[in-house]
Amino acid sequence: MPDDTHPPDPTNRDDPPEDPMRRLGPLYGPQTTHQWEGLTERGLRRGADAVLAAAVSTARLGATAGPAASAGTGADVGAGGDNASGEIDGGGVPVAELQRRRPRRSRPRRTFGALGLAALLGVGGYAALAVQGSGGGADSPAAAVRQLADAIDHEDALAAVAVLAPDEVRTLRATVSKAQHQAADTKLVASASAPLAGIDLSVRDLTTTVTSLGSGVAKVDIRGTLGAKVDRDKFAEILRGATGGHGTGEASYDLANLRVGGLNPFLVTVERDGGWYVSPVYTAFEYLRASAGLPAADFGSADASKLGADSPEAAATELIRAIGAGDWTKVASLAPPKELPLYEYRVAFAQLMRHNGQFAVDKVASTPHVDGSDATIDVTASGTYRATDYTGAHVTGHWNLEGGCITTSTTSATTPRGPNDAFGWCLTEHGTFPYGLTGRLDHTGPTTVHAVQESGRWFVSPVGTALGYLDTWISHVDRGVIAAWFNAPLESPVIGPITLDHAVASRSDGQSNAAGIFREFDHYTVHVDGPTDVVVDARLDRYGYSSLMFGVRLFGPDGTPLQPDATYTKYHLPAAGTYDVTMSEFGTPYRVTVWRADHAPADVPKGAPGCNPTPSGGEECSISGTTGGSMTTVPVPTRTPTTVEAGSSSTPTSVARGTTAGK
Amino acid sequence: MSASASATEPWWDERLLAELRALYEPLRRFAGVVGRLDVEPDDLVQEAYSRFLSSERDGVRDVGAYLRRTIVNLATNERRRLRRAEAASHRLDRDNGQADAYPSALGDLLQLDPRDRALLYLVDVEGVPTSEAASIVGLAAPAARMALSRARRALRTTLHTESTNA
Repeated sequence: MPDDTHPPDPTNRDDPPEDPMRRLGPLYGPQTTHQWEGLTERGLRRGADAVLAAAVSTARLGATAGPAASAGTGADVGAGGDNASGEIDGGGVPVAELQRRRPRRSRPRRTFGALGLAALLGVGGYAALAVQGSGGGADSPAAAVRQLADAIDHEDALAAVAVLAPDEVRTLRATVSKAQHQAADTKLVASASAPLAGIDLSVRDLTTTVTSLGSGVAKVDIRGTLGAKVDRDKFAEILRGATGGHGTGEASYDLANLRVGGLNPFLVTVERDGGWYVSPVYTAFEYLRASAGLPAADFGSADASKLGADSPEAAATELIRAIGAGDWTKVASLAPPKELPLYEYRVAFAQLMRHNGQFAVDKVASTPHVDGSDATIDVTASGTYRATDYTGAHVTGHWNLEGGCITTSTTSATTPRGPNDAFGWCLTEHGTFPYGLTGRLDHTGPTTVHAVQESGRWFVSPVGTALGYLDTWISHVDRGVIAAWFNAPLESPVIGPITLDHAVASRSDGQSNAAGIFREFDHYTVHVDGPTDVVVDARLDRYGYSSLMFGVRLFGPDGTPLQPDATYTKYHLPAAGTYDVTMSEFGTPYRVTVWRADHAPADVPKGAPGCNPTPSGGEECSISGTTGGSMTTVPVPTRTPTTVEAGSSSTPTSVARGTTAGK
Repeated sequence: MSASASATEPWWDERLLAELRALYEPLRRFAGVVGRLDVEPDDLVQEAYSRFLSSERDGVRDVGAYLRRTIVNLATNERRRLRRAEAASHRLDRDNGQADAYPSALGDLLQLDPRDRALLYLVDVEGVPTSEAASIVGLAAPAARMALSRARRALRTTLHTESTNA
């Protein structure tokens, strides 16, 4: 059998077009065409039979440890333990298998994160299934709510399929599916299909009161008791650790005591094609409207064929100009009615927004990329706004929409500011939170927004735009991010070994995260051959701070955190072994050196800046606690010129423990 | 080789092996585009075959898409692993000689993320619809459109800069 040829099959889309490069000339020019050709033809060709034979051999042995192992040629493609199966319609991005580490406890935060995530995935899972189901809705508003309650009571997602408004949750499907599989891949949940495993929800004594809000829209007030039983043994390991280990728990809540925005609990249902559905979006809008005492919505007034814009770029441009002009009705008319019923709530929306300061749009440019009834639009815009500085003086603010960020800066005679004073909000594609507050101005390039076509008109999709960024962010969530969420530094992938007496620079993206409390960790190992005293030296280039300021922590071979001496810098490593060193990501890069105690320089920072003497002769200093973010005040002894005791006579060596993170 | 395999293990029947063999050429081209320059495309294809044959395949509806997804994942994992290793090496104040060094003739494309490169190749070269390409690289369609838009923009900017400098 010939190795490198196969009969062309016009029905097989994996066969390339006759001239696969022909499309590229108009797009990029001949240079790129040559590059594509170079890439597609590169490498040593072993042929189909040889490649397949080696794969069959490897698969038969059940060994898929990487091509280096299986082929004996080429680079080591697969990190040890990678799960790189390419599932379609059900697979997430695989991640490397990491060293199993002992979890640390910071229970309240981790519990919050665990339950919050489980709830998100669970609710999202219901929403995703709702899209896939046959639908049909319920016979009445009350029946829709009861059907949803029964589904929750029995944890039967399929039974909930018919009662969530399909139009509203359709855009969430891919994102939720992605999040579920990413959570499973990173061992955050035991199973992507059962994120709520271990949680038994119940709804008891449900009563409903229905009030019509308009044609096809009804509010359903609900009373009853919500209950939850938790069986931690069914949780994934990290969630079990976060929620206090093994065992069960139980709680219930009387809905009569629940107030949301000062209102008794209710759900809003909508009629679609003869069936009634629970509408998450209408429910949220109605809560916002009613709690703020705003005018009622004009249900049924959103005719998509008479709203929107002629083209995707017109939709984006008109939206920005309408926001600048404070034309909130126009803004509402550019939101897709099926996805976000902002137009029906336009009066309330305009009233809510009218006190917000207006801004001027100086420049706006947009470039669309249309794909059927969807489009992405590259948008850049800038302008000015009125602001006041801290003295109360009026200043001119400048805003920019660039690189996924809205940044602002102000200038005035009283408060001259440099470019570094600008800050803004960004949608981010990496990190521990999908948006962040930045102090940097180097976010350049257009911002990509999503547009959809309904009834021949184009609308800017806020949900689609946010999900576009969110999907990318989710795909970048790894064990390092999860370690930050749960404040579990030992769960973070090991970067590598630290050599004693050698500095290592911390990681930093140069911007503070909006969620501040979620800081990623750098995780190293250090090996000693016997009892050793070490001194942790953590400092910025120009300033000295204690190691605790940066959340530098040492752990013993069994995962037990080591306690420093009164200077917060010196640790005793009691026996030979491999220890863990973790440090929190900080807004500014800093350097950490783990010195053998007898090698430590005299100026290793002790305690922290801002220390004050106490009546007892000691000092009280503000330093960060071990949670990596909160500031706590702790007493430390009187500071004296540094005297570092000689360490033991052990011979530290540098040895990697386990595998380096494979992701 | 394949005959004996199928004789003892019926799930690797000749039909499946023939299907995999027929996919070799397009997969090899795809692996060449997506993988690092120091990774042999044949090795990526072989690993994808191997993992496919070792997996539960009942739910796989499109073998070609499945294998391409696996190749993207393998390439992405490798890039992440090497980035961490390089970052660690840099942070450990050692000489860092591991940075990607691409021939200039290929550098424009290889500067892109493997996933973005895969998207560009699938959509712009092979003409695969964006929604299908998104599924192959593991992104939702809106995210894939945004990634595609950014990648095209980055590539055009690079090419424009080079032509201006030239």
